[in-house]
Amino acid sequence: MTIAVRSLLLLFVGAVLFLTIRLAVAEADFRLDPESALHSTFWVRAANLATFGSSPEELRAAVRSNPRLAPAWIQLGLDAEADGNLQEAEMDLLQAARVDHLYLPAWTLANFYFRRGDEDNFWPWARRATRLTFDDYRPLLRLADALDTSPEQVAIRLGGSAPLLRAYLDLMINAHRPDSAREIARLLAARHDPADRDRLAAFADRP
Amino acid sequence: MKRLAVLILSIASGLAIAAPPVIGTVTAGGAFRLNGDTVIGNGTLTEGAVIETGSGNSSVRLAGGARISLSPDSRGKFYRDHIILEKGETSLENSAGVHVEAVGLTIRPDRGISTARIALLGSNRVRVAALTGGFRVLNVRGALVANISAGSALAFEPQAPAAAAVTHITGTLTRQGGHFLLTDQVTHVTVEVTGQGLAAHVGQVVQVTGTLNASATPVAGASQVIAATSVQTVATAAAAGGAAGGAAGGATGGATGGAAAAGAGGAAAGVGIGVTAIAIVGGVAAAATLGGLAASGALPGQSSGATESR
Repeated sequence: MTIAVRSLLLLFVGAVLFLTIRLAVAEADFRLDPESALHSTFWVRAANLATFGSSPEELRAAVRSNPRLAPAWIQLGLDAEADGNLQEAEMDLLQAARVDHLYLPAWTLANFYFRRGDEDNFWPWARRATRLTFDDYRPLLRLADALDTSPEQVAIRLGGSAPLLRAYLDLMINAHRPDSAREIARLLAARHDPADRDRLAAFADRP
Repeated sequence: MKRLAVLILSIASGLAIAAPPVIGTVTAGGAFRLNGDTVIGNGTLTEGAVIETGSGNSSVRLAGGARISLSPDSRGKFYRDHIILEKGETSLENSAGVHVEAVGLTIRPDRGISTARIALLGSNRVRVAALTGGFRVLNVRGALVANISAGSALAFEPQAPAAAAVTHITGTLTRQGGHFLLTDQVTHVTVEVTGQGLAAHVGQVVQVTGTLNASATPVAGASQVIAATSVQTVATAAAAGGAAGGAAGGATGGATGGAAAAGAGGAAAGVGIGVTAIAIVGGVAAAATLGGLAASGALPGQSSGATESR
């Protein structure tokens, strides 16, 4: 190994070590005094360390230093909701959705409007969250199903995709709601997707 | 208080509109399970919701203002006014009208602002560490099993149904208007003791074994009547010294602790960490953990990340 390579390696290790220590110091500063993070050259990184367990002061400092920090906006919104500041809560949660177009803000807003009984705002956010769901549709389906008595309407309002309908059908079967399951099965059958043949046949064979 | 009142009004207003009975919200740093579904970040709780944590903890805020944290690898069933702890550990960070049920016991805060850490130890044991405010522990029939004051920790193990009426307590026997009273050193439960030859033991630290007399009404200041079948002197009042108050706080109660442990048999294993003395009240074995809160891991800095830094 040449001297140049060794030097480069040492330089790299030194830089990593320096950054690690500096970030640890920044984090400690942030925990002790969130405002101090604003004066740190590493403040953005330190502010990003704010978690759902952080204090409101830490969260506020975090979003001031990094307004794109969606998890902090979400936690601030939930805290505001718990304190009864519903307008502030909604603003914070909408801000989270503005800076983060992924699942969590949409899911959080759907839940927020569900708790408020605000159906007009619930459905668009639930539908958006449904589009962004990558695995488990059941939590959204449970919320939506609790708001609307017609499973068919729920399915349509949430977009009516095949994966959603399959999850909904399974949910209704497991919940021992055959009438509701039948409604969903009809929607699924109407798609004429061969992938659903076995599922629908199994449902039809159920006593 | 204002915060709590606003929270109640806030969620109550939601309840008025929403059809399902919403009881609060749950927040977590990552994924957790809510009613068997994988949920990311946060969710809405309805009556009877089951939360199961994975590697992170979850924080629950109930409509009444209570704030509860569920530690990693824990499971609890949440209702408007109580939680059934099924696995792991929970922290009551603001108990506001909420009690916890675990292994058939009811752990009820004396005040709304009481805080505690409650952990299941195996399938039939629970440890309660009161951080602020006091807690009362009741057995499955609602009888008082222990009073836990702030800063102390007790472990409990319900006994087999056949032994449910057995009581085994240690404390200084006093007389009050013709009635004999004893406050157990471990559980701080005051009982009225009935039986033969009790007068000779007044002022002494005695170990009483007996059975609960459910039909009798206890004298004021006592929570139950115990018909003594055995009364043994552990120490005279003068010799007892500080032993009487020391047991539950974590200090070894000398002869008291040893004798009680011997009498309670295998219940010592229920504590897991260290035992100073054991009592059996209302069919529930109770033991002070050695070192109190320090042993329970409930002191500041001992948290496993289950508490919020609010």
